[in-house]
Amino acid sequence: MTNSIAEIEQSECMLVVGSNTTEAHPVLALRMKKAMRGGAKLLVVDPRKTWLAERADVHLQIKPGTDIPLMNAIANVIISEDLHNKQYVESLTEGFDEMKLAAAEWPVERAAATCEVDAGDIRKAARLYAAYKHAGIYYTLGITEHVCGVDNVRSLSNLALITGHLGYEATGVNPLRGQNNVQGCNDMGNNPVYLPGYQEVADGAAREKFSAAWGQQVSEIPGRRLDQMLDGLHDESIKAFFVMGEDPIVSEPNVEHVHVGFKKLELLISQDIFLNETAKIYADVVFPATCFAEKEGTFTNSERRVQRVRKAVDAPGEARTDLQIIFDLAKELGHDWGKAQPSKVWDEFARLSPNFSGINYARIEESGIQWPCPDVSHPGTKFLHEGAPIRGKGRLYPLDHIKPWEEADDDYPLTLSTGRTLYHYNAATQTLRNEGHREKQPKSFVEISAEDARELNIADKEEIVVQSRRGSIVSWAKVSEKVRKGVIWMPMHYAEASVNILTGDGKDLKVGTPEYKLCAVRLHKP
Amino acid sequence: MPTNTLTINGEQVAVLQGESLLDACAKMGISLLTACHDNRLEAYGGCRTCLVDLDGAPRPVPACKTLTSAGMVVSTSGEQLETVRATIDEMLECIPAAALETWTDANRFIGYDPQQCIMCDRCVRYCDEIMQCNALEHVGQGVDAFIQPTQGDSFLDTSCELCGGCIGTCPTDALYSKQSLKVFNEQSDAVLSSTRTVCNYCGVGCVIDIESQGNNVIDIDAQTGVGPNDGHLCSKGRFAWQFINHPQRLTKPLVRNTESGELEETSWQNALSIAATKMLDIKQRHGADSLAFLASSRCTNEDVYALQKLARAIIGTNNVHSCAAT
Amino acid sequence: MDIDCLDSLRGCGGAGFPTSFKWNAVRDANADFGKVIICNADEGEPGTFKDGWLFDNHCAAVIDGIRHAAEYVNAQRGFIYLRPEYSAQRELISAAIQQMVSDNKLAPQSGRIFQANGFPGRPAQLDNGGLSIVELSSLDWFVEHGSHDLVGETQQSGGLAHDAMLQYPLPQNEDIEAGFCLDICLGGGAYICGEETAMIESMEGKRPQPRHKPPFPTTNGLWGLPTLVNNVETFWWAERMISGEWQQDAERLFSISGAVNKPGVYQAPIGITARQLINDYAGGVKDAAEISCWIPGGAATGVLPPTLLDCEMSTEVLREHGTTLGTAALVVFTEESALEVSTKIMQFFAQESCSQCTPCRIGCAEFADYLADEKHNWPHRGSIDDWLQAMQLGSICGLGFTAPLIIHQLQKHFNFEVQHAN
Repeated sequence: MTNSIAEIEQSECMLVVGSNTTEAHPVLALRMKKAMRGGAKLLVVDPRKTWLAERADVHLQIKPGTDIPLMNAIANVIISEDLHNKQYVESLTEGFDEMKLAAAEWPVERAAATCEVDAGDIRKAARLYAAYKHAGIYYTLGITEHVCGVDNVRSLSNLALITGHLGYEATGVNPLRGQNNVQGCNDMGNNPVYLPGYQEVADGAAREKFSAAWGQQVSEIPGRRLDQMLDGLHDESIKAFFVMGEDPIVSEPNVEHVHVGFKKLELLISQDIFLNETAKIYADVVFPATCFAEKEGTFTNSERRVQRVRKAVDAPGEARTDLQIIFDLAKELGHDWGKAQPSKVWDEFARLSPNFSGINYARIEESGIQWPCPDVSHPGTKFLHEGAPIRGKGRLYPLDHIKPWEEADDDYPLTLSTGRTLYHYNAATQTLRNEGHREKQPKSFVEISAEDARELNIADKEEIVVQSRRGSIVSWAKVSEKVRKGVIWMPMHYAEASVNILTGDGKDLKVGTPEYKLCAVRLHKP
Repeated sequence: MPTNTLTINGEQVAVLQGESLLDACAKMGISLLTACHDNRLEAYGGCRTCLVDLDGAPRPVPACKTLTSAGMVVSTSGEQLETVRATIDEMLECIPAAALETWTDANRFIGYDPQQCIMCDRCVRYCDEIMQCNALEHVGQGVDAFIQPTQGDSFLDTSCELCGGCIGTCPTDALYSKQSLKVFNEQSDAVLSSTRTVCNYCGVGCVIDIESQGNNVIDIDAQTGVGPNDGHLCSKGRFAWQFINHPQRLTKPLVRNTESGELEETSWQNALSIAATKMLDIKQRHGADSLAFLASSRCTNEDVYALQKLARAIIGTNNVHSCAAT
Repeated sequence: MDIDCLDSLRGCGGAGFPTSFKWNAVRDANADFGKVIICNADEGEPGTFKDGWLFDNHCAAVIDGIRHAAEYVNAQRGFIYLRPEYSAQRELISAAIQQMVSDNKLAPQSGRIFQANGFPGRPAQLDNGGLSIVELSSLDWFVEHGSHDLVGETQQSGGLAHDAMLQYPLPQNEDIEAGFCLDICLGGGAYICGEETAMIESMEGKRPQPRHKPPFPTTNGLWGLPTLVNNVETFWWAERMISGEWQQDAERLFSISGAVNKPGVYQAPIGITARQLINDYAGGVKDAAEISCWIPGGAATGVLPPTLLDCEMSTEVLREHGTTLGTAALVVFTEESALEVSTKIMQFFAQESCSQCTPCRIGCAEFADYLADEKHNWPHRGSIDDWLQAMQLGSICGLGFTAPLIIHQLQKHFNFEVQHAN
């Protein structure tokens, strides 16, 4: 997030795109609700009629996968009606002319036809977003989990830049992180092309710094992204896989294909708190690890705030902390890193990563600090891009519509979208083990519009088979006003009805993020 | 920000416009008892425990509900005022008639004990103002009043999102966590403790307090004014903690028996040794880049830093990634 | 328009606030978003039925009073907040409004019927099943009349959910151009809805709990707009004074009920004695029985002994005896003791407390139990006086402030000894 969570309350206008915030980030949504109570305008772009969408000033219920035409049209309205921030564009951005030309390819009426929304609503949304000073954009996986995920994000940053809606309270471009430490995991360099603290592997000086610190030469060969690792299973270029707290055969798309890959693997080491599906079938070694309540450390939240995690209870049986396990394994591999002490690990990271150097355990004892925080006297950074974009000039991108990897057709006439519900979390290894949550939402369901249900002669709560070109699962129909005709939606939480049996191989062309958010399916009775 | 200067107990204090007498008193270090007040909610002024004398007002005013204005002269003590406040405190101890009847609700999270309820409306207002769910209502009148899920349905049938914010804001134990009650062992002499940490679900990073009895988690709560969540939690954050002490947790390392194909329990030394040997073997045979490491965005920064360091500094590959896609 | 003629008029809803003061306050209030007039016809004070009588007999004059007030304060919208049991009066009012619409005296859309909110679990009731309030008397009457629970089926609001009101949160331009629009709002069906701010809350579709004052409705009333709230009778007297038919605020409509031969509504001079009202107007005491106690101005004014039957019925004189003229509702008792009547009143208050503030919620109930207890045991640490004081000083609205008066009157006039358990 470029902004802080607490700032959301000060919003005058919020543009929420591809985020069912009240279910996926319920506590952050409370700040939005408060802003709404104070009169803030709310613009929602979502194929589903979410809680926020129902209450929005404008809900653009677009056809899934048409975000770029919509954002281009909005940009087009803003520019053609002269609502953009000319001073900001001139002095603090680059690429405006190209971007403007690309956007001009999407007049409102054309976009309205492609996105299947009302042209007047597009205009209204554009005018509202441009009109308010404190206007922030919030998005989540509805934007990124597409073949055009990166361009989708760019289409949003285009809007922020042409209006100058960046760099002050409640105003910026804010991805809401789906998991407790997505932010931290990236910060820590768990990325094939970035070393810790976003220092590039390609940067020789950075490599040298880490090589010196670690006493071992850091390879200059860029690593593989997750999707490339999975591909590597198939061509057998990846022989060993160390999986920490993940369950790829449940969480990765096109599960059948993933199975084929795992079968070829020589070594799978799994480290988790429960025996997950992947480990059950494929692991050679399983390390019993600890959950968040059993260890010391830090998490970094969506607003870049590093906060202390503390041990409340002992791990069960012989389970060891994740850090201890890695230290033990390192020792077994011939490298004695000494005692596994979280604060020392943090200090090593902070010393090597300038944007984090000012953060240490003593400083975050009471409350967390938001990076960038270059030195110990720095208070942390509430919002980014103050005064000007960090890179000097904000880059505007000329964008065009990119069709999804798979579109509905005569054989598979429905578009399936997937997501999270309020009561469960991802593969639900934790929440389905809670009686109350299991009872509240015990089994998989398929949200379907009344119109589609009628045409297919499907009754509410009826057992149905959802089939894609990859496979099929059994679920239960939930006739709902939330989805539009032609689109069905399923939660991703149920192993017995794993939506990833259905999802396809589409992935972002630039960073490989899978296109979980849509694939073509058909429904039939069992 | 414009300020107002007023006099409290003979001393002058400057406060921001829009602040209440309660805020002003707090600034002077005068702490007034409150029951119906929660900073996150609009002032209610119903419990009457924070009454103070205000010059010119016909009777004492509730400090929480009274906005400051310049020149106010306020007194927080005095025989009559203190008697009134003491009497109101005594009144709050009275168990009302409606307390004999209560609702039972099939939900497994939120319980209600009307004998503890002082009708401060905090839960109802929380659900209305903060959650905007309106899943709770204040029904009946006088001492027959009580709190119930809207329309008398089960919470499972209302718009309730089972966040338990009503429990969080309840100043008494009228609303309580059924889960906690179930696991709390009165007989046990295990140490009760509270540990401040961060929730492990979404990326908001709510600061929570884990309440534990010995090695058992018995509750999760959050404090107003702390962390990005300001005391708020969602249903998962507040209640989805049964997994921690779940019997299916892994407690021993496992290795696959090459003959039977089954995973079998083993010692740490054995598991680590097998893992390390095989890793080094594969590295030797196929090169460092034939090993891949997938970190979890559920683990701590330190955990995942160590993992990528192991991959880069010991194995020698940049094949480290996570499922972090946002 | 000049309202000097109203200088002497005091409100007839019970509090006796100077009418012209309120009118001027609303006239001078911020007019940016419009102003509202509410005619308080909730008439929930036990023993009081003059407002119903006024609609029965002088409906047009009352509405004329509302219209003139609207003209004076420049209000665009008005409501008659009508006690839900008054279904016969509702029809009279509707007819009168329609007539005035045809005469171009009210905006054309006038006369709509809205439903205010009540307490959950106790919906407002439209029909009182033909039960006449005047026919009821004595103790049962208090409980039954007060609780409103005894009659009718659960009101389904006849398609007039309060949402209908919320569609008109602010006066629209066309309303303003069309002239003063007067509608009927059916009350929430609870005693507290007669309290002006609780009434406003109920009209806004909320739980009818009184607001904290200040701010007062004259500046922040319905939907936050400056709002003039007056009793039905006040509008009637105002109209008579404005039209020149009447000069001085010298008479009141007395509701006389209980053990009298001719219960009813009588216009009589302020300052008349209770005995004169009973004998000269209400046909004397039923069966010529001996009066055990009486109430001067509705239940909230407490009981008085027969020895005070000759005192003047005016606020000034009654104040000397610990009470007020209230709603000028005289109730005569012959069979019930002062303690029995007071107990019923306290029980009524306990039942009708909105439960918002602690002193009223707990205090009324504890005193009701205390009076009903044969031994009058007081089980609390704090003294009875402390509790009465806490209610008087610590409550939010008039219900809590005045409930202690019931006990005070028993102590003052009936030698009721305060007992202490401890």
